Amino acid sequence: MRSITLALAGLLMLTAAGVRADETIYQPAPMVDNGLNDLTKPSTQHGMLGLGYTTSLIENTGLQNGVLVSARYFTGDKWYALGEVEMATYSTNTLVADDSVNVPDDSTRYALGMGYSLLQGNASVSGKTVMPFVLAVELAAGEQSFGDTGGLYLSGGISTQVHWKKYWGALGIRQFNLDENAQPLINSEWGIQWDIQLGFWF
Amino acid sequence: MHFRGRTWPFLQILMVFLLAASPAQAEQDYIPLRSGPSEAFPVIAEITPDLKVRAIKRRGSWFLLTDERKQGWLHADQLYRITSLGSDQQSLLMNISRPGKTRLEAGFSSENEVFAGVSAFFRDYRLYGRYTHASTGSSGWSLAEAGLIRTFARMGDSFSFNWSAGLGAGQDEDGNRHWHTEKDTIVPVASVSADAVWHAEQRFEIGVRTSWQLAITEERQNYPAVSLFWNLRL
Repeated sequence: MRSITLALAGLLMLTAAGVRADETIYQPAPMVDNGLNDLTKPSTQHGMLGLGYTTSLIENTGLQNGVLVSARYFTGDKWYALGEVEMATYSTNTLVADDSVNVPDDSTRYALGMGYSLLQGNASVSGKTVMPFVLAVELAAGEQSFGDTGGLYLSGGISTQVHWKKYWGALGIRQFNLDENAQPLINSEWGIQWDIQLGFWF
Repeated sequence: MHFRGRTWPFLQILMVFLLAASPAQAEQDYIPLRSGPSEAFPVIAEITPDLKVRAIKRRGSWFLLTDERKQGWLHADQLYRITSLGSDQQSLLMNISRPGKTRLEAGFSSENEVFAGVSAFFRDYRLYGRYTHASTGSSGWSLAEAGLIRTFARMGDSFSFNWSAGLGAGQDEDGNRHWHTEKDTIVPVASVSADAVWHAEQRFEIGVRTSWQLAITEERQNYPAVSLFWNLRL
């Protein structure tokens, strides 16, 4: 009986020792200071999103006011890609064509294009703070629809942009051409548009 | 310390030369930072290579650097001059400034078409998908296609020439007879094209395309067109 007790006590001690031995096994965590953990990635400015107000003067029609949503994606120092969606409405204008009065439908258009920065520089009013400005030529192609009709839309114009740290603003003017099928009743094939836009970087 | 009569004038001349030479040795390398991400923007700050700076924004291949007091833009090609950044950080910034392998495409054609697409590299080719739509008054037509683009010639780094071939599905809308189909009928279409592309910038390309589309129907109508398009490398 005593030998059994001693044997059990010995086994218990060995087990306890084994547990302690496991606990004291040196298991170092890989701590290699290669500096890679300190690297920081800057945030990326892909482009600019904007919301604008437009006024268009279309051939044989009155003024048309609209809302413009635009996106510009930077592709390099000078060029950027352009995407636009515009919703415009004839407010109080009625049109007389071929001795009949036509009230054109509201128009919707989308266009994809490109911009090229002709001038880049600093704008300053007080001389103490400066803001980068860009004067760019923009070309776009898309479709414009007037209710049940629509056609190819092509535009070319100039956009003057001021860049703040978080926001940007732009004034633009463009001439656009409409497919002759877009507004068959009023026979409009071109127009001029002014726009003012404000937006932010994304 | 005593100098002999002949040694002292020699030392005087040597000291004059050393003093004259010292300003040239101390000439510092200054790195210009610009107000915007382009060479056309004016320089608004200069930093020394060992000044501790960090990049807080990237736009294309340009980085907005700051030392917490002043900030300005520097092109990725100039990052190597900033010794305080370290080679690992420089490599990271260089890598993220490079364009990826995906291209977005948009354009319009002589046939009143507007199209948009996407392409990505697949071995020596690029796989593309493209959607074309034409609106002609109160009706229109569309084409969705996919295929392969292959560059067969280059002219320096600025121009390349591609051919492409694809298959797609065309559909007339609202009674249009472009594809010579009944309403809502989908027509299989084969297309081939040749592009001349100008690589305007690292991420931007402008091209001219001559294309030929064939409606695979009994009438075998074909549709040639010339397009202007632009590619955006993401």
